[in-house]
Amino acid sequence: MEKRVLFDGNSAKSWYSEEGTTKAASEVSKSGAPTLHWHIDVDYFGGEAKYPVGWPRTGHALKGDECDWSGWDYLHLWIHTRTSRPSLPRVPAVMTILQGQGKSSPLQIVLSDLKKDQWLEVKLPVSKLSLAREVQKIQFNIAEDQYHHQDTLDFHIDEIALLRYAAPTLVDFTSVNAVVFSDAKAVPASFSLSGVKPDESKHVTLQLKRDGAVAASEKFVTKRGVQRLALDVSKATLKQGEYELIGSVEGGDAVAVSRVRVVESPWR
Amino acid sequence: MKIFTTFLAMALAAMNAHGAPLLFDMGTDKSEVWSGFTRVTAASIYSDAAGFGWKSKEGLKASAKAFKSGEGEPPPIWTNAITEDVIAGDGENAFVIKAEPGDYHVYVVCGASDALREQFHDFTVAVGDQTQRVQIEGAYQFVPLRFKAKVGTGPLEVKFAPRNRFIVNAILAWRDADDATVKQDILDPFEDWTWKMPPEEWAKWKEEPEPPTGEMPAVSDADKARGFVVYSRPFTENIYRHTKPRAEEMNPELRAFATGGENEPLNFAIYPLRDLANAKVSVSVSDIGPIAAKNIDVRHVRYLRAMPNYTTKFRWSWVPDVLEHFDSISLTAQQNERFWLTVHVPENTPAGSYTGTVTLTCDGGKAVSLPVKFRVLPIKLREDPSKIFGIYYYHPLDRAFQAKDEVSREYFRRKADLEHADMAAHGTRNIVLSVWCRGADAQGHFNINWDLLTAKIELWRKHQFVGPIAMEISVGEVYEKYMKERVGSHLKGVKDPPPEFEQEITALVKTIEAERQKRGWPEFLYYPYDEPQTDPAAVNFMVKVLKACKAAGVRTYVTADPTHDHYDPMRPYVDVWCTQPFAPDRETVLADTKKRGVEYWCYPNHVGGENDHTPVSGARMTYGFGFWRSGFRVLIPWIYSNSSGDRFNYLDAGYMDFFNRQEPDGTPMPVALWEAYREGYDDYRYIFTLEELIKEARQSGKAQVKDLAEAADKDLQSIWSAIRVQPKYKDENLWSPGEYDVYRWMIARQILALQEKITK
Repeated sequence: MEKRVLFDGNSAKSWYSEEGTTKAASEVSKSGAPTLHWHIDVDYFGGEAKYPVGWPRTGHALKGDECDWSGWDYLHLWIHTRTSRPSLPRVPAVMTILQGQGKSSPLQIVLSDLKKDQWLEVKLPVSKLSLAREVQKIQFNIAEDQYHHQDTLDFHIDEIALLRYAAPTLVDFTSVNAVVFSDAKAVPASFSLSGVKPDESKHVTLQLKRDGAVAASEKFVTKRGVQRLALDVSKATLKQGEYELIGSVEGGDAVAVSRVRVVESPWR
Repeated sequence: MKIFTTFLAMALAAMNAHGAPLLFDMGTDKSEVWSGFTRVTAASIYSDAAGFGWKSKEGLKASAKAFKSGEGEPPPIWTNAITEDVIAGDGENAFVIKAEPGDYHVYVVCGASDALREQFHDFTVAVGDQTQRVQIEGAYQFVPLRFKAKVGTGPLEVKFAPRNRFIVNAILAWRDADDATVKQDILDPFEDWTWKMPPEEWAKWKEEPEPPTGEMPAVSDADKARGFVVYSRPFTENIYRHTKPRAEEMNPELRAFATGGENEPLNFAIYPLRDLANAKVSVSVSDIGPIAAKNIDVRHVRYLRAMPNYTTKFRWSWVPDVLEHFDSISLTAQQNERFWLTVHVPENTPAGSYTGTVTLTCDGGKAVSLPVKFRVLPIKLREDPSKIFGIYYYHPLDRAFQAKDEVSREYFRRKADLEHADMAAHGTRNIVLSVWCRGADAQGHFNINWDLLTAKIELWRKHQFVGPIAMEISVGEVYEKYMKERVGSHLKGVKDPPPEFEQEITALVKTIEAERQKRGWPEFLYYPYDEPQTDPAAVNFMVKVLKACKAAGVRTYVTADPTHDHYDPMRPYVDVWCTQPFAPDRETVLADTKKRGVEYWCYPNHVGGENDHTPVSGARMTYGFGFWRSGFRVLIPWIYSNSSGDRFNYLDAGYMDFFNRQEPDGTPMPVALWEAYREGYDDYRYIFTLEELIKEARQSGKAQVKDLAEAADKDLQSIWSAIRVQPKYKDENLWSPGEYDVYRWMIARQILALQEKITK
């Protein structure tokens, strides 16, 4: 995988922080590099006068070519959490990606899998962003009403980076339908074609197999990014049972496989 | 606005030169008059000299209520010179216009801007031999009527015949020669303002893009020649105005399976390849085997402008929303028109595979026939008595009891009855009710309208609703009595009340409870306050109120997220937690229910349209497979219908309108989300029926039947494992739209197999 580090602990001074502090730290690190240490003392009476039980937050704006994530596959980071509480609430923190200067809603990721004293890996497909060429800001926040007054929180955010595959790869390849009727016209697959330059096209082959025998096969020409291709099975005779939908891409090393269960049609 | 007014005056002057459009703005003697219109008041009686006026002033009354753009909270609607004022009449009358002989277009605007929540207006408007009925509930709705009139030697008469009360804002009459000018200079700006918003307000709003769609697939020569593509996809997948069809969806066969008594949707869409603005489409359906065409309800999906959530202003997008009846529809190039058919399978319909046809007829003789395959299953779906499907509800009987005339009372009673029937037809058989009263009087008595509550519970029983009933009580009123101030929203700023407050809450609950027991009503769950916030003062207040309720020997109901440990002090006094997500998880829910008898109810507002009108797939998942997986007992979302301002303008007023709409006569008009609730409810019934049959089969002495039960259980477990468990099923990580019916069929075929063997 190719990597571009956007932020690590060395950028701490340029992170804004409301109702908390963000500093560089080295005592807790996944990568070995300094981390961003975001500290919050939950305070029900301080902060914004209108919202004393508010939303402490830290974030950073993006500039120049940092804003264009369209040539990348994932946003990747690690977060470690320490707290004075015995455990974290159901919504411990939220990561928000602002995009498109108001042309599109921000993408909000609820970091519900954060656990006390543990690292959480965050690997966000860039395909989730509707305007990946115009990313403006990354922000983290908590909602104080999820916590008690005087709770303390220490998040260590390690290496916020963009990742991409170096060779053509079908990422997140899956049959759109895990179950289909035996008289279905098509078996669609969804995936993100990665490791391909933005304007380049590649052949992608889809096959539906059962016990090694090919029931249907079709070749498509497609470009980088999220794709939905429908394998025509209207001429195949599908029988009840388990099939494999297999995807392969020209120039790629691995094939992608997704299981499909064929169920006898109620109308046959 | 000044530029527009000047232009309009010039245009009207030009029109007057050749025939004078006749423009009348009804209202008071002080209210604003639309530029170029003549003021008409309740005292404007017709005379030959005046050339216009009422036939009689008997029973006429003018009123005005203007709402303008400004700072702060938006008004319920934005009025203009025509809609800010009205003349109402309670007897037959006519507006008479002296006009040159000839053919005229007549345009009449009826509506009211003043809050008249308990008033229903029912009247006819007649011009010549054409009569149109107008029915308007309350205020903020405006109805335009169009007529063609021929004027001879006598004057033009616009006649009003009220069943109870008529209302009129403006009357326009013009000749053919002026048609384009009147449309451009008066009607277009007026209609934009009235049913969208004023131009200066609209300038602040920005349209959001539709969700991305795929490439347009290759289109056949036949489709090209016809000018449109017909396609179908599962109803759980939205079709936006510009969504492109997929190749495998084109020229579809419409297919479904259902049991007797079930309602099952079919749908298809037209994607016009070029401008077919003059090609009106109508849809007809044949019988499907023994299912007569009259049992198939044909609607189209109406797109409406919606905000991204409940309160966010100045951003909007077109969303597929209301399922509306229609006669014929005009097609616009590259703009989808989706049709939604609900097949009601009569009870006792013989099982079998049937065929039918849906025919699309286009102006110009272009017709398309879509084959229908429909399988009726010999299954009687069972209801799980341990589960309840309910909903919050603004009860029309509240209005019926406040209404001042019998026509209005009859309307609100009928509306309540139709809505209860609609709920029952969607599997919903529980609503939240309330008992409102002020604090006790000096003698300790509570003044409660038992007749109103009795009427509501009679309707509840008539439609076979099931309890318990979450019953809101007037804690805020009692608080105000002791604290001399209103309690804030969600208990914001609540103070510690004196002990007498708690004693009065206990007395109130005992009073209601005594009446309930005397009348043999279902159990009430006492619901003292909605969505208390998490701060210690609010929690402390809730503890006191809940303890006071429980001192009367009843169960309590709280709308709050039980996973918040802020609510720990309340926990011993809460019998029913009603929370938005399916949280806590199934294991915690079942353990708490088993250990302490606490119930977990869910109000899944994320699929209620409050913040998003489009999570149709999430709604089905929440109501069926997700509910099954959750361990929760009840689904009770907010709310059957919510409107502020104009019911079909989701951008006006402080909050967005959402969920079911209504016809002018009060007949319910569903939204796609409501139909998704029903499909989820049906999914759950299939699951429950199979679970019961598996239990019965396992008790059978026959090895073959037991084997079938194990095979069925294995299938059911595979579906259970396929559910991507989430606290909120909305639009992420759900099953694909095409999977729901396959999973349902996997359950149905196991039911069929078990039924056959168990009964042999």
